[in-house]
Amino acid sequence: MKRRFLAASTVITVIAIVSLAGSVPSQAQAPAASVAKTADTAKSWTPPRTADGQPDIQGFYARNGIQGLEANVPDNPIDPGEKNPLSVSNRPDGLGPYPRIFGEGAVRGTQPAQRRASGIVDPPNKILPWRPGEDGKRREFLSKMNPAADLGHVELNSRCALPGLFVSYNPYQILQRPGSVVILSEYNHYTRIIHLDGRPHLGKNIRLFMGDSIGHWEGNTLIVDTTNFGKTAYSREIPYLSDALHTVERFTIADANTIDYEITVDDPKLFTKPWKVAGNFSRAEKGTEIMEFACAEGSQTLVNIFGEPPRR
Amino acid sequence: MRTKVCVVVAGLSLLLAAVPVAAHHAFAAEFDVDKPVKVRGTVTKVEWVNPHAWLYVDVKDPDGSVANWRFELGAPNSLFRLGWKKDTIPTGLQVEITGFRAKAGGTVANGRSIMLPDGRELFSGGSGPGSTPQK
Repeated sequence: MKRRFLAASTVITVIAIVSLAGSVPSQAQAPAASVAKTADTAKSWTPPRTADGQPDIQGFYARNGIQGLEANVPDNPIDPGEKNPLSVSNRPDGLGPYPRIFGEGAVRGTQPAQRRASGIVDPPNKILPWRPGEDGKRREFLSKMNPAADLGHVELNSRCALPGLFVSYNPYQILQRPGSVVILSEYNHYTRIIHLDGRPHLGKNIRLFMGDSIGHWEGNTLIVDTTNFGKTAYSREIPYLSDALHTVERFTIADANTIDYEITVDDPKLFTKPWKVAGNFSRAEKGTEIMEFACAEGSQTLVNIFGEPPRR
Repeated sequence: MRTKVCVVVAGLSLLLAAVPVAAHHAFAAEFDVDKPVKVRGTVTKVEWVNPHAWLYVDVKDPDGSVANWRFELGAPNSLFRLGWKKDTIPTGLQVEITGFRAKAGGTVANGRSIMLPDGRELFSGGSGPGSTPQK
């Protein structure tokens, strides 16, 4: 039965893909040349300007390449990745591999995700410069996440916390107004305001899931300095970073449809030196909109892990 | 109409299967991969809530008692983009669902796929194994 369904679905899937390919424009919001340009050709492209003179990057995007894995990634009991020997993807009964679509819906970028090197790009060998003992502490923490030892060992996402700068769910929308760049995210429906007015960072006692972001433009690159993080995670394999985290992001306009993205992770409590992750923001398919995602509305995650709370 | 929905679901799911993105929550921390479940029953409700939609099914035990199971689906936004509509699975429909039971037990599971009465299969678009057709 299953085989018959698969055979039938293959046929209808091909039809669906062909029909989708015909109905979805090759790119969303820019001129016809939708093929990814090289960095060299991109230099000749001049972006339009907003009324206050910023390079105009407004629009809907899909982000690619962030949360890249380190070289010596630990076996994470909650990670579904195929390379993880503990993963559900490695079931012998064919029920894997784990699908990875939730949260993304059908929103994808119009440009190649692997336009250039992505994931952890510095150090090139992807071995992160953990301080002595900190990698071990991280692995010990992971071992207590399944089964979850307590609420503190349930990943932040499952608790509907704001995702910070690394957890990537599409789509995003970038808006610009005088004095700021605003990034809207469908996931958890957050609004990230990057201030361009030269203000100083907030006082050190103020801690925010998304951090406090101050930016400025250098040519076609938006540089964003973010501090004041509270609880945040890099990935399932690095489920926490410290409150000393300081990031510098570079949003560089590559062409009409692509913003190259690089983020430097400087967390002196956990690492001996900063490391870098790269990816891109690609214009999203035509018709993309931000819809509400109210995580706390009906989340059953904690009940499913720990059971119903006692009645009072 | 339903054929159309199935085509869209199958097509989009396959397209998406190659997109490496993480789920809202880690499946393995919440559901038990060692406890797969398959039930047949009558749909009593589809709840389109964030962060996951839920499908409720009355399942009759051999002794005649009825238990109401609930199965986690994808996010409403994801389901919508995958081609699901509010009436894709109407109340009263007889379905067979496979999935994995919640760690905390009870009649709760992560939905993997839903077999319709005519033999067509919908994939839940959820966070569990096999929730979308694979390549």
